[in-house]
Amino acid sequence: MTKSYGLIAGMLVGALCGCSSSGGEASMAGGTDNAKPSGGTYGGGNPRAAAGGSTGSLGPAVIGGGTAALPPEQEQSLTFLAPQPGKRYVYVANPTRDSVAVIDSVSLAIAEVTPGDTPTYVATVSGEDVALVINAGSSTLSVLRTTDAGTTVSSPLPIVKGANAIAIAPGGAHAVVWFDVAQPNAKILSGSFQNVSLVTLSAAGDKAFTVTVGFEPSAVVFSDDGTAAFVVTKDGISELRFASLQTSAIAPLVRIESSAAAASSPDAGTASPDAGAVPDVDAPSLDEGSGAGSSSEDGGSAREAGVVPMLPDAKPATPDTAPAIAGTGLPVDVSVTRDGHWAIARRDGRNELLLVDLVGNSVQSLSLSSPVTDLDISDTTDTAGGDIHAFAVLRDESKLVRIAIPDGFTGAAPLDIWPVTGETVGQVAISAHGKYAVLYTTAVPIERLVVSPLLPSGTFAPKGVVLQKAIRAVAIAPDERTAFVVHTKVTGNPSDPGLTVDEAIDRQYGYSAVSLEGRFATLQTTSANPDPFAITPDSSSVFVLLRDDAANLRMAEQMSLTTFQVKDFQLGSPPNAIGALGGINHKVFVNQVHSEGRISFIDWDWDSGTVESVTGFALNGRIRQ
Amino acid sequence: MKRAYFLPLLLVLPLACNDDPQSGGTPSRRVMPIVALDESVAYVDGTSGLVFLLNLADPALKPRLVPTGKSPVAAEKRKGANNQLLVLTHGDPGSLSTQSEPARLVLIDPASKDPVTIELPGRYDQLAQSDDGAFAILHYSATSSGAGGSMLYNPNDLAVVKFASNTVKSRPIRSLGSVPDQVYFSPPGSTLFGLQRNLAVVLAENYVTILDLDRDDRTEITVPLVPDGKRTVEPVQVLFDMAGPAIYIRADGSNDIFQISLIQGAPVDQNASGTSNDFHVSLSLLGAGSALSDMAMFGTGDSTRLLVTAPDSQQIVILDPTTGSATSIPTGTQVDRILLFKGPSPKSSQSQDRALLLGVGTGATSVVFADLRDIETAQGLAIESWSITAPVVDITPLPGNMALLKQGNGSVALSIVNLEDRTIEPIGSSGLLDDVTVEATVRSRLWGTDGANRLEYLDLVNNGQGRLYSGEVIVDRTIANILPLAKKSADGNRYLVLEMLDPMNVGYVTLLNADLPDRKGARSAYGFLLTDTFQRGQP
Amino acid sequence: MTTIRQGFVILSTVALLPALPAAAAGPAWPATQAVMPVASEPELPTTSWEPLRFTVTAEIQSAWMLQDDARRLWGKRNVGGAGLCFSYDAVEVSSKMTLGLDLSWLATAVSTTMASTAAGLDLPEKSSTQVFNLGLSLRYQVFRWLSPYARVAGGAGWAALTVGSPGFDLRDREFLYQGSAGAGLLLRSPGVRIGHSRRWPLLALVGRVEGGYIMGNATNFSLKLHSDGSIKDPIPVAPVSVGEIARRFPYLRVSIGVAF
Repeated sequence: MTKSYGLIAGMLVGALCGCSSSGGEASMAGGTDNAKPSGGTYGGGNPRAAAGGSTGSLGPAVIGGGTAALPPEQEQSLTFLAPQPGKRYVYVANPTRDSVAVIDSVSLAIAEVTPGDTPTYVATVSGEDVALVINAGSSTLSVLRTTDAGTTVSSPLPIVKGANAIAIAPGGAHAVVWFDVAQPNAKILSGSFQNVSLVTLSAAGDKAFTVTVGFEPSAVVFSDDGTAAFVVTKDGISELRFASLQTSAIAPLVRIESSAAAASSPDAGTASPDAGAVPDVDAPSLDEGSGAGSSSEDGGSAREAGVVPMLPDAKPATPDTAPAIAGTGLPVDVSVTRDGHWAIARRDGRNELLLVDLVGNSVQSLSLSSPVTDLDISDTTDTAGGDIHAFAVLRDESKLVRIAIPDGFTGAAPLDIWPVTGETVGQVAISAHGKYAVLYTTAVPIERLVVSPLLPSGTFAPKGVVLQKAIRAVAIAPDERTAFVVHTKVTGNPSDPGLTVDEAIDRQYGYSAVSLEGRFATLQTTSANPDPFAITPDSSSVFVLLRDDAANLRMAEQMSLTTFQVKDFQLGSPPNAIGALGGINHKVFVNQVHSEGRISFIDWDWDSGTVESVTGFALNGRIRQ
Repeated sequence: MKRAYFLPLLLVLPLACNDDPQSGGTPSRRVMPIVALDESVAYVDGTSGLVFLLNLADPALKPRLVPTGKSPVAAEKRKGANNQLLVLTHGDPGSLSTQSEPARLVLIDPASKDPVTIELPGRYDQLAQSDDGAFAILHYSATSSGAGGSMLYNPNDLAVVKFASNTVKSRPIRSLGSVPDQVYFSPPGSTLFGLQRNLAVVLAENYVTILDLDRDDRTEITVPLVPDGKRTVEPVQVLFDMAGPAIYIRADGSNDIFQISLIQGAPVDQNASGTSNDFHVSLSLLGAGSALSDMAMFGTGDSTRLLVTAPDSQQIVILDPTTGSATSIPTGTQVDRILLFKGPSPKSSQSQDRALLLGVGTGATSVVFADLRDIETAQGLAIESWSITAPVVDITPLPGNMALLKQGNGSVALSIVNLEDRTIEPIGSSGLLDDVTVEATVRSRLWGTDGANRLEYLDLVNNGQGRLYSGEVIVDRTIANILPLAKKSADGNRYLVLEMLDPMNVGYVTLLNADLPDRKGARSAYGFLLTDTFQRGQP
Repeated sequence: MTTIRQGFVILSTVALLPALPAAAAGPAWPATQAVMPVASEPELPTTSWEPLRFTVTAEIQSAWMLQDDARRLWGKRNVGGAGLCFSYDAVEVSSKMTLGLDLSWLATAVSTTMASTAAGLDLPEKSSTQVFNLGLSLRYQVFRWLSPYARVAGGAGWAALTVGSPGFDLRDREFLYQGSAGAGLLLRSPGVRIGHSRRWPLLALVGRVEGGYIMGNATNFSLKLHSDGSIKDPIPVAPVSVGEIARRFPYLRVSIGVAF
């Protein structure tokens, strides 16, 4: 089990699609969504939102009235490991100045380095002050290594053209750089739809070479030991075993059949924008601090770089990743086990589950009694006696099905089919170490969720928790004690006359914290969308950013996950990104929109709560002292 | 024989010769403005380099002549509790016929026989002192015409003088394209990270430089105010918050206040020679959104706030240096000057931070009072506007939370503002009032002249004869300047020195008793700059 | 002060005097004269070398300021003055040697501006002296018309200094005294009787050229702001000492007058 966690941040891609300023632009590293525990580490983001939602956002925060037949679940691309900094330094790219600001969270000193032409996308190695920067102007990659003596910049490494996403393996020895068409600012370029760059990181010298994979890679997942990467593509999963890849090659591909099922599916409706898209991938686990804690100076473009810092051993129960399109029959919710042997997926709108043998290059399917609305994985093989299970939600039957991997697919082990009587559940989130399952639905405005312990193995005792507002997304803290719930907002003004208290509450934004053991919930209404958010690595607090430019609201709000008390921090400029620092720093950083660049560091110790801000990255970079 | 008679003719010829003196075209005397010491006044003759110290207690008013050096360029009283005159000289670069003379800083103490002379490493022409008079920084002005004759010199060379040891050290600073313009010193007695610390902030166009004056072997810290050369900002005001610790700088051409945070620990990129400071800085911009004209700091600790005036947008802005947040409050009038005070108000007897805001030279006909506690929350409720009879051209704080407004609309008008009661009391003047001098430190007395030989005074507080008691003294000649001294002379009198109109530039003062001014006790000294002129070799 | 032209005319006249018919030298003085019976008054000669005891001359004096302070005061090295001198041959020590007394008055006035080698000052300055001297001279007749002499004199007077423009001027007047020693040449023409009667006096032209050295007390002006009296009970103004100015200088004195 890893000693420290990266930040669990509810990095909502939609929040990053903010307004631009005339100043420099900084890219944000860190993936946005798809944080799901599995055997490998996840290093890619799938920005696809639910149907109709903006890319990578939490999906529509505001919902209208009730529904008759249940609509599709809103897959929330919740990312809690948003742009992450290194251990002590935060990296902010400024493409217009061809520079990257390296901000010391302790001294607030800022140094400017010039890695190359138009540095845009940044990702950091978990727990280290090492950052990878994509120089978009020259299609090269630079590696920044920061010590107390300063930052060294490696020679630019050639990478695939148009690359805009970075995934870093646990341990930081390898990284995969690729072109993600789902990025909001992705430009379709020729020749890059099936190439990824495999980067070997070493203080003795960094190397990069090109590997050919399946069509349109959408995510990269790593094995827990960092020896292999699995590139999820439209064709299937391409396998990159680092030890056997020393030069350019074609990566072995395990095909996952998709188009035939899509054509015959009775639920296939109007082709969605994502029809035929790459299967979405759930993060099998979360790395710590591998994302660069950079944020956009211009108010944030949408999810940058597709890097999701990971907790190697923690399994934050993130909800499902990229939005599934109802009835397409496409394989979605792809997860990979820690050892990289197995991958699971479900067919959208179908009752079929798929088990991919990444070693044996085979695919098995399992049919359940009704369509699967969500699929999650729990891989506790890093602990003694641990095992791997897939959890599938059958919303039509209000059941949760637990399937042992691989025996459940072969019939060697029976399926555990657990009814959730009296509740409507369409999604499941499993806690980091498989202790709890949280079941809920985002399809209809139901103000309840269901919590069940899962340990000892085989336990299922669901209990309902009453909330005050409907659910938009759920995240479970790494310590498995608290669940963080982001609510939807009903259209309308809460101040309208004649409203009941409940109606007024429903018309407000808000979030709740739920004690999993005691099933005690606290609602906190907010004046703005609580997005993005971040849970501190020690699970002591959750920070949400509240921003309403029209109302001049710019604030970071801290809720203690121990006492559920709330504290506000006014900010000088509209915030657009949040991340946490690892190591000894008990600080979160909040990036804000400012022409010269502004970042604030907030001490998350409840008694301290100091805020330090630094503005003017370029200026600070020119200080001579 | 006949020719012998021509001899007398020859002898008389020399009588007819007119041995003309050097005639016409000689430059006038260059006398520097009078400098008031505690009990005496000093004139520095820029032509001869002599200082004429006039001991006012001397019945003969015979000045003491003290040579300083060639080409004095600046003279001022040493600050703090020091009764000394500082004279900065350029010296003489020398020529084939004249010996060179180094530039000097001369300290003249009226009580001491011999002045202290410090030879300087450069021919500086600007002198800046710390408030306690412990340090002085000499530098070149931006318009320096060749540093007293040198063709090539480093305009960014500074000389730091420590008066405790009367030593000087040259500390050239790096330039980011400009030269030093002003120098500000940290408040005396400040500590930083547990150590006594004296800092100097040197302002230049587009950047500032921070010097640790106590450790002259340390390098300077250069902080740019613009990221590139596309625009120009001119730093004009500095505030120190040593408890923060931070330095705040207001600059013309910028809508932001520059916050330089001082952080313990050497900078990350220490130089190899190990001369980095034991602290480093980071820069933040506190955006106010509009051009700023004045800045003041109030509150302590987490409550520390900056109050800035934005006259163009008729508002004030409260800046929180911790968060960088800015709260704008409209004032309804152009205010460009802040007078901070602590006291009660008509609505509250509590002594709190408050401010009088006014437009000096903006033509505004109202002033604004602001209650600063929780002003970010109260906003418009915390300010109160008062009309005035004429626009303000100057303001002088007075003891007892009072202020004197000098107003003008052609002629001089005066008002006294009671900051606590928020009352504005006009002071009558007949229209003849030419100029006023406020004596705020000892007696709170207003001195005025009609531009001729009439001197009037008005007690702003009760000095024994009632408040607003007025008196008049007529002197013999036209009064040019009024200079009340702060301390009593050896004869027990505190003097009011009137500089009289002196077209001959030979020195003309009239002395009155500042506490009980009366013509009968008046004395004058005229022509004292000619003392011993025929023996000195130059006037 | 006489101009160059006037001086030349006077001296030319003196130079031309020898062209006039020489008169016989008159008897020495005091001479014992026999009483002649007067039958009728015979015609007296029109010129005579008879000694003439009284002399009135106009004189000009040129002095050279050797000290810097004096030069600064006067603004120049060479300072001239003019005056009158009344002499009386008191005692005939011998037939050729005569002891004389003289009383003279000399005035000097200079307007200048204060200046120095270092830097200038546009201060108008007026300096003046008025000195009365009493001299004693010993004269030896070499020729009837030429007598070298030595002279010592002592005198007193006052010196005045005004600095500045009217209205803001500083003034002072100081007492001075001096002594001088010099030597010179006396030139005279034969006496001319205007009328034919003895009652008419003899008049002769006399010229002197004398050089010497004057030593006097140093002048220490204490300038005060001049009040024109328009201010009743003016505020006392402290005087300003401008420094001690030496009065020691060589001089050249030329005088022309008549003896009778």
